[in-house]
Amino acid sequence: MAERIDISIPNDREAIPAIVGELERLTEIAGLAPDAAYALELAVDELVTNIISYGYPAGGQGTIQIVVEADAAQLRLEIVDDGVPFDPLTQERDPPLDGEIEDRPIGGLGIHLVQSLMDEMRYERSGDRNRIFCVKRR
Amino acid sequence: MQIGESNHGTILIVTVAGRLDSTTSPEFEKHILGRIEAGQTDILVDFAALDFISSAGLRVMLMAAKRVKAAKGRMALCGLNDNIAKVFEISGFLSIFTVYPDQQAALAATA
Repeated sequence: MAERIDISIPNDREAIPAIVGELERLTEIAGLAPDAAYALELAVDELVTNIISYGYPAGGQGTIQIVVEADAAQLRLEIVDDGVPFDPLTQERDPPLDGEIEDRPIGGLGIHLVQSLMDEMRYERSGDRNRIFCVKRR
Repeated sequence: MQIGESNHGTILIVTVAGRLDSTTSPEFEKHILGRIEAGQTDILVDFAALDFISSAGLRVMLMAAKRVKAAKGRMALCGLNDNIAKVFEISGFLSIFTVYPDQQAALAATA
């Protein structure tokens, strides 16, 4: 049987801890393995933070919807927001992963981590919404 | 997130428990950068009780490492769980941090 959560939050960092609580609850009821649970929590932290940072440059209230479905085969995450068009897959360049400490740039690792820990990730703009889909096979 | 500290000779051991994510990392940033600014540049960060780190936490670790290196100090890590070790590997951070299994191994190596 599929387990599902569907939460909408304002574009405010203060709302993120409430999502973490829901994700932990889903991990428990769906019996997610530690690596799948981690991939999910990481993707939500990185992607929601990105949306809040870049999706509303003019300020103002927005809504970010987070839907997670877990069945026996896979874990699916969908994040929908009503911010400006923003494709995280094209806007973040590949960070350098080697070199000395002083050569490493601060930041830019978030999307790289999500792509590495998830099995699939894609973005689409539909209507006035950004949609990001991630899949993690179980 | 909870931050704990203990001293071992000149080494400051900083333990971080819980989550280092976009919500909690600013507090950890203020804490550890404050210590480095105050002249504490010999630091072991113990993640044994840390469950989760996202890029927000990695960012703080990199900032701290840059400042410690500029001050010619030493910073090492220990106690990474499997998921956190994987995140460090994916980020290319295993080549810039010295990582020990636990505090005992870290202190033995730096004695």
